[in-house]
Amino acid sequence: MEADIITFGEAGAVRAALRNPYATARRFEIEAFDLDWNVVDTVRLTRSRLSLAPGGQTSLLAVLPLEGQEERTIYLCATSVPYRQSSAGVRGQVCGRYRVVHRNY
Amino acid sequence: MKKQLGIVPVLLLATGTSFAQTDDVIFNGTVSDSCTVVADTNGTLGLNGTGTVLASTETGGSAGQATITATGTSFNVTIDAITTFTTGPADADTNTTFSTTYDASGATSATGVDGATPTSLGSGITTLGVNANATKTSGIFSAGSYSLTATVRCAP
Repeated sequence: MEADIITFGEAGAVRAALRNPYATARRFEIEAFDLDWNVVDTVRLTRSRLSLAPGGQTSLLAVLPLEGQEERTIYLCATSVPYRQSSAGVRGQVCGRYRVVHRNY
Repeated sequence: MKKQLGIVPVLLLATGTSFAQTDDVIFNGTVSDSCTVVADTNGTLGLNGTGTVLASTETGGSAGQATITATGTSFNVTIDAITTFTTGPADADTNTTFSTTYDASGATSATGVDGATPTSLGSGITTLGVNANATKTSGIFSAGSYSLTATVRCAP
């Protein structure tokens, strides 16, 4: 859930695996955050919303832009979206941390 | 003649295939560094006697619960800050502050930790109790149905 990505370009790509641990089908939202947990909306994702059957697995590709920085760390998070809402709902979010490093050689 | 006698014992050893033999069959496996969060139980908000606090710790309220499974010790748990009600009357968020706390048991031990404070998860299964609180700094909660969502985050 942690990785360094070396790139000679202006972005790094990472493929992340996602599994539905619930006994029922679930929807998931994928978001990217910086180290202060601000949303990074310039990250390109193959899918930002998806549904998975119980125990179902999938992978998604994320392109993490450096945006002029030599090094950048981004959290890629999957959040389960409950189908039902109660007065104090709880949802789970699992994140991986990825560091993109630019190289010139 | 002496040379021939010297060769015979060597040939017997080389063709001695009648001995029982064992060999190992190797199985390799890898457990990836992973974290799983399952939100098991939603909580309930109760109203205090003066109408200024809606919280899972008030009478009639109950904590939510999540189960976290971590295969390593590199993960932390926090609860994302709540900034608004998910549903509620028009003035639900006016003069309202939100907070969360959590308790952990199992592979991780923690009691009454502020939601924003990370706790290092132990390797294994952690049961997390989640409490949410909404407090009016001015005025009271008006009649209506309220709901909020606490997000349990597992991150390295």
